[in-house]
Amino acid sequence: MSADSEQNTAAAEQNPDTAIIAALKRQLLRTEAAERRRLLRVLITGSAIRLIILVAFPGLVSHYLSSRVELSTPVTSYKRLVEGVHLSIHNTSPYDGGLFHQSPLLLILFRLLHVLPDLFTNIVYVAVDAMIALTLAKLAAAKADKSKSNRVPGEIRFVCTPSAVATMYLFNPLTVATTLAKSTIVFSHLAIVSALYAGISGLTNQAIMFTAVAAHLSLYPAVLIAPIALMAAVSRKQAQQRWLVGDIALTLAKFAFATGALHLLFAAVFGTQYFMATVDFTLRAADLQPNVGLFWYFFIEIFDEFRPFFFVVFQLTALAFAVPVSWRFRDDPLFAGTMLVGIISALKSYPSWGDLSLFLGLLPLFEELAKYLQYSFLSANLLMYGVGLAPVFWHLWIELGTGNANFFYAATLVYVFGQITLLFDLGGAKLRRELDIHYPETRTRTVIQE
Amino acid sequence: ALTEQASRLCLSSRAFYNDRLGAAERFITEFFGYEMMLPMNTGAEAVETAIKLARKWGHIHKGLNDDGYVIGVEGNFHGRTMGIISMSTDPDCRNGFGPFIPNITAVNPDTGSKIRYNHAEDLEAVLKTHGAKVAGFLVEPIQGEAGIKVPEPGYLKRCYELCKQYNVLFICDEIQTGIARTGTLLAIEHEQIRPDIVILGKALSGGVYPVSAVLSSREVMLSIKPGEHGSTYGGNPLACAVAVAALEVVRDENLTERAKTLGERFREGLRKIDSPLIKDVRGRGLLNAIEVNPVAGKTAWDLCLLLRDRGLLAKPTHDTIIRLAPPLTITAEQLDECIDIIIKAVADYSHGLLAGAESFAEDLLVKPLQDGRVLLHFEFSVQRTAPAANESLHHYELFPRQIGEISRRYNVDELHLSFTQGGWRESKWGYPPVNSQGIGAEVRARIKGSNVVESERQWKGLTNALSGVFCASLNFIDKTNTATPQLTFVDTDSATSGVLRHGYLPRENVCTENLTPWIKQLPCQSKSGLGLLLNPYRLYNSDFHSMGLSLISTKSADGKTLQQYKQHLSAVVDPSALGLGDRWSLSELVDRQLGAACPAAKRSTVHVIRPDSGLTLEPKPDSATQLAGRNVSVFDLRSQPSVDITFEFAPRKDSGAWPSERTLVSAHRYVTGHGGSNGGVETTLTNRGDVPVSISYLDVLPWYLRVYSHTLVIQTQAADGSWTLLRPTTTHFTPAIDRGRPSSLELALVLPASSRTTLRYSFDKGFLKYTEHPPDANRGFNIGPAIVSYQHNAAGGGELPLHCAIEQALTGASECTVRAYTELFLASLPTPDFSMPYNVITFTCTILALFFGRIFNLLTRDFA
Repeated sequence: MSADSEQNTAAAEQNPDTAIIAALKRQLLRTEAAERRRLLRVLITGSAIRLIILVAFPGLVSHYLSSRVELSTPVTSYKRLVEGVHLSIHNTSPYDGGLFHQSPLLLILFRLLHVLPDLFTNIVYVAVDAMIALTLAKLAAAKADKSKSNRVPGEIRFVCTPSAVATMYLFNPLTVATTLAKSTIVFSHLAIVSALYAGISGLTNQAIMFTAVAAHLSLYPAVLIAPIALMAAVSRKQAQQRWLVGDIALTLAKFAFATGALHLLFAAVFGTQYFMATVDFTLRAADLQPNVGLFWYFFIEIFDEFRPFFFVVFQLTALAFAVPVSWRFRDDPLFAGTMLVGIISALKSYPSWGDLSLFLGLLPLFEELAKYLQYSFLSANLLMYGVGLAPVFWHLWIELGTGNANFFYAATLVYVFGQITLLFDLGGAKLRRELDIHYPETRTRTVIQE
Repeated sequence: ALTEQASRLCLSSRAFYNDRLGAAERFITEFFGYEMMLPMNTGAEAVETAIKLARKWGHIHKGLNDDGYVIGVEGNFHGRTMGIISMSTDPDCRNGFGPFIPNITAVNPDTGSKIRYNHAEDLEAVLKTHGAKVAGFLVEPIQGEAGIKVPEPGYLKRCYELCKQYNVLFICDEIQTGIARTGTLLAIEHEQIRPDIVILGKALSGGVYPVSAVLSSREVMLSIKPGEHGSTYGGNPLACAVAVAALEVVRDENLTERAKTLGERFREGLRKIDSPLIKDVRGRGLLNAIEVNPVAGKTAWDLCLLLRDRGLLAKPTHDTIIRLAPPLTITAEQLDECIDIIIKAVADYSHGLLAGAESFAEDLLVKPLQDGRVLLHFEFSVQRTAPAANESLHHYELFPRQIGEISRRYNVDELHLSFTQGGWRESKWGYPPVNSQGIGAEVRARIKGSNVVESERQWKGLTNALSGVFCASLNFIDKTNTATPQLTFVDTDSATSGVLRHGYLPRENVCTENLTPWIKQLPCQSKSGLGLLLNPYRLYNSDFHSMGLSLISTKSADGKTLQQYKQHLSAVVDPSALGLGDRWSLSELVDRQLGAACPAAKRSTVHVIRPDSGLTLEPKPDSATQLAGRNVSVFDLRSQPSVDITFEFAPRKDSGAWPSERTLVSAHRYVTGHGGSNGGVETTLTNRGDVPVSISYLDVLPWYLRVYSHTLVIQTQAADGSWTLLRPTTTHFTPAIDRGRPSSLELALVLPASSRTTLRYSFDKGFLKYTEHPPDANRGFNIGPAIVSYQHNAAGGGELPLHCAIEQALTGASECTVRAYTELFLASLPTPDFSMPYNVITFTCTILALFFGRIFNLLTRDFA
C-alpha cells in the first residue's frame, strides 16, 4: 500500500488529475486481481480439504457422517439415493417403496455417476460446494456494486470481500460436514444461490429456472419466487419509477409453468407414486425419523385425530410468510430471499444442518447489519449449544440408551429457537439500518418498541 | 261332535248323571267287548288308574296287604307320572326324580336284574318267587318309545299264560298301539289274548281332546268302590262325545283294515331300500320304525334332517331309530309319496357319506431322538372329492365343514396354517416332521383368480375367518405383514394357479385355545383313536411344539378336484423332564390312555422309528417297515385296540446306535450392528452335501426395518477356506411401503458343495408413532424367520427328510422339497417418551408461537 501511495504522489506531481485517476484505476485493478487470487485460493483450499477427507477416510463418510440424522434426512440421504439408483437399475420403480423420496433429476445424475468410480461422485460434491461458494462470492460483489448508493452516512467500506464470503461458507464446519455426508441438499442450495445471483443480475428467466429446479429438488425453495419476482420488478422499477404488477404476475406464471412442467414430466414417467413419494411425503412429514426440526417428535407424540390439523398449521407457518416478508423488504429482495432461506431452514419438515449452513453462508452478504444485531451473543450461543448437544444427546439416547428421546428433542428446540432469534434479530437490524439511512439524525437514539 | 257337544254341556260332576257318559260307556264297552270302563283324561292317568285297580284287586282277591307288586318290563314307557317312572328303566325318565314308589318295578326284586321285554322266562322267574305277591303285569304289545319293538310271536301269549297261572292281572297298555293302529282294533289281538285290563288313550279321541279309558271286567273294576277313585274331567260329556265320534269313524271308515293293508304296503316299500345303512324295518300296521346303522358319527337324527328337507317330519329315538306313525287316514298315494321321500333321503344320506369318497386316516409317529427326547408326530388326514362349483348342497361327513366353507367362500384351493413354539434343533434332531417349523403363526394360501384387489379382500377375509375358527390373532395378518413370494413355495402344486400369499405372526403364542378347535375338526375328536392322546398339558410342556393344517387340491384324471386336508401336530417331549427313566410307556409320556381306533378311520397306526439298536418295544409290533432308511415298527390300532406301547432303552453307551442326523442345508440368521437407529441382517447357509444345491431364500421384514437392497453382499466360503462372491441367479426385491407392505427379498442361489455362504444386508430402523408401539415397547419387535427352500436330491447324500419319507410311504411321491426356517430375531426400535404428548405439544407450539409473534412484529413494526 505504501509503495502504491508513493507512486501515486509522484504521478500526481506530473499531471495531477489524469495521473490520480489512472493510479486509482491501477490500484483498483490490482486490488481486484488480488481479490480474485484470494478467492481462487479459498476455493482450491476448501475443495482440497473436502476431497482429501473423502478419499482418505471413506469409512468415516459412509459409516458415520452419512447416517447422522442431523445431516441426512429422508429427503436428502445419500444412502437412500444410492438405494433408489440401485432399484431403478434393477427395473423397480424407486418410488414404489418407502425409502426413496428424492428428485428424478438426482436419480438421472447418479445413475450416470454410478457407472464411474466413486472418485467422480466425490468430485461432483466438492465441485458443487465450490460453485456455491463462488456464486456467493459473485453475489457479494454484485451486492457491493448495487449498494454503493445505499449507505448510512459515515459508514466505512465493506470488509466482507467476495473471498471472505466464500471463506465463511466453505470453511463453516456445518457446510463441510454436509458435503462429507454427501447430503443431496447441496444440489438444492446450488440452485438457490444461482437463482438469487441470476435474479440480482437481472437475468430473470434464468432465475426463474433455477428457482423451479430448487423447488423441484426440495419443495420449500418455491417460496423464493417471491423475492425473485421482486428483483425482476425492481430492475424495471428503476427505469419506470413504479411497481409493475404485470411483471410480478409474469414471473409467477413462468415459474408455475416451469415447476408444473417438471413435475408433470416426471409424473408421466414414474406415475402418481412419484408425487406421493416426493411432494406428499414432504408435506405430510410421513417419515418420523428424527432431525433437527420441529416436526418429528411432535408427530410421533400427537394424537391421531389432530394429525391433519397440525400438518396444515406447521406447513402454513413455514410457507405463508413468503409474500409478506418479501413485500416488507421489497427494496432489498436479496435480503428478503435470505430471510426466507432462514425461515425454511428453521421450519421445514425435514431440516438439517445443511439448511442452516446456507443461511449462515448468505449472512456475510449483509455484513453492514452486524453492528445493528442486538442478540448476536444469545443466538450464537443457542445455535452452538443446539449443534453441539444434538450429537451428544443422540448418542445418549440411541447408542448408549442412557438418555431418552426428550434429550435430543430438547437440543432441537434450542437449535430452532437459536435460528428464530438470529432470523428476527437480523430482520430488526435491517429495519433499524433503513431508518438510519433515511433519518441519519436518529442514529444515536434507541428505538423503543410499542 | 265336539262343537255340538261343547255348545250343549261341557262338564258336570260325576255326582250327577248326564246323557252322554252312560251312552258312551255302553258304546265303548260294547265296541271293545269289555264289561266295564273307567274314563280318564290322559294316558298316564289311565295307566295310574290301572295300577291302582290291580293293587286294589290284589288286596281283595289275593289277600295282599298293601305289599302287592305291579311289574313291568325293561324299556317300558307308559308315561311320566310318579307311579309310572317308578317302573321305568330309562335313566332319562328317572334320574333325579326319586324316591320312587316301592313295589312298582321292572326289576326282579331278587336278582336286581331287569325283566327283559320279549323274554318270558324273566317274567316267569319273578312270578315263581313272588307270584303270590304280584297283583298285575303291565306290558305294551309293541314297545313304542323304545323303538317300535315288536315282540316275537308267542311272547305275549306266554306272559298271559304265566299271569293266569299265578293269578296275576295281565294289563295291556294300548295307548299307542290301540284302536286300529296296528291293523287290528287292539294290538294284543294279534296274539288272540284278552287282557284283564286294557288301557286306551291317544287315538281314543282322534287327537281332538284328551280322553283315555281303562277297560276291564266287572270283577276287577268293582274292586274300587264308589268314592275311592275319581277325576274331575274324566268322562265329561265333551270327552264322551268326542270318543264316541272317533270310534265311529274308526268303525265306519274301516280304519282297522286300512291300517293293516297300508302298513304292509309301507313296510314292503321300505324293505325295497337296499342299503347297508338300513339295519331293520319293522312294525305292525301303521306303527313302524326304521333302524339305521350309525356311520361316522352320523345318526338317525341326520337322516331325519334330510327327511325334513324333503318334507317329511319324523322323530328319531335312541340315536338309531326313526319312528314312523302316519295318520290312519293317510291315503295310499300319500303313503307312496312318503316311501319315495324316505328312499330318496336314504340315497342322499349314503351319497353324502360317499360323496367325496371321504376317507380318514390317523397316524402317530414316535421317534426317539439322539438327545433322549422323543418326537411325537400326529397326522390326521381326510380326502374327498370337492363338490363342483355349481353344486349348492354340500355334505360334510369327515371333512370339517369349517374348512370346506372357508375354502369355498374365499376361493382358496391351497391353505397352510401352522402354530409353532420352540425352535427345531436341526443339529440334534435332524429333519423336522413337517415343512413349516417357523416360530409363531404362519398362514399361506393360494387364492384363485388374478384380480389383485379381489384377492386382497379374500385374503383379509380368510385370515379373519381362520382367526375366528382357531381363536388366534390371525386377523393381525394384513397387508403390512403379507408377502407374495414367487420362488419359495412353488413345490405345492395345486389344482388351480392363483396368487400365493404368505403371512407371518412371529409373536403369536400357541395355547390350548388353538388346540381345542383344531381337535374339534377331527372326526373322532379326542374321544377315540389317536385323538385320545392329545393332552394339552403334555403337548405344550415340550421343547418344540407345532400344530397345523394343510389343504391341498389336486385335479384327478376325470377332471374332479380332490381335496386333501391334513392336520398335523408335532411335539418333542423330554421323558427325563417328566421323571421317566429308560423305560416308559406311551401313556406315561402323554398322560393319556390310548383306546380303540377311531371307527371312521380307514387306517390307524402308531409308527415307531427305531434307533439301530437298544430299543425294546412291548407288546410286539404288528409289522415292520422302513422309513428314510430306518427300521420302523408299526402298531395297528384297529387290530390291537387299547394298546399301550412300552419303550425300553438300553443304557446309552455307544452313540453309534443313534446315527448323527444333520440336514443337508442349514440356515441361521443373526442381527448385526449396535445402537438403535440402524442394523443389519446376516444369514449363514451351510451346504453339507457333496454336490451344489439350488436354494431359494425368502426374507420378509416389516416396513419399519428399512432394508437397503444395494447393501446385499453374498459371499461363500469353500471347504478350503477361501471366500468368493456369489451372485444370485434370480433376485426379487419388493421394497417396503410405510404402513403398507413389508419388504420382501427373495433370491435363487446355488450353494457350492460343502460350503458356507453368508448373506449380509443392512437396514435403518424406522421411528414409530407412539400409538404404534406395543405395550411392552422396549422389549422390541419379533421379526419372522427367513425361509430357505430346496429340493432334496438323493445324489446330494444324507437321509431322506422325515416329512418326505412319510409322504413317500403314504402316496409314493418322489418330489421332496425341504424348507428350513431360521431363528426369529428381536428388533428393538427407538422409543419415544410415552408420557410426553402434552409436553411436546406445549413446547413445540411455544416455539411456533414465538416465531409467529416475532414475524408479526417484524411485519407490522413501523420506525417512521
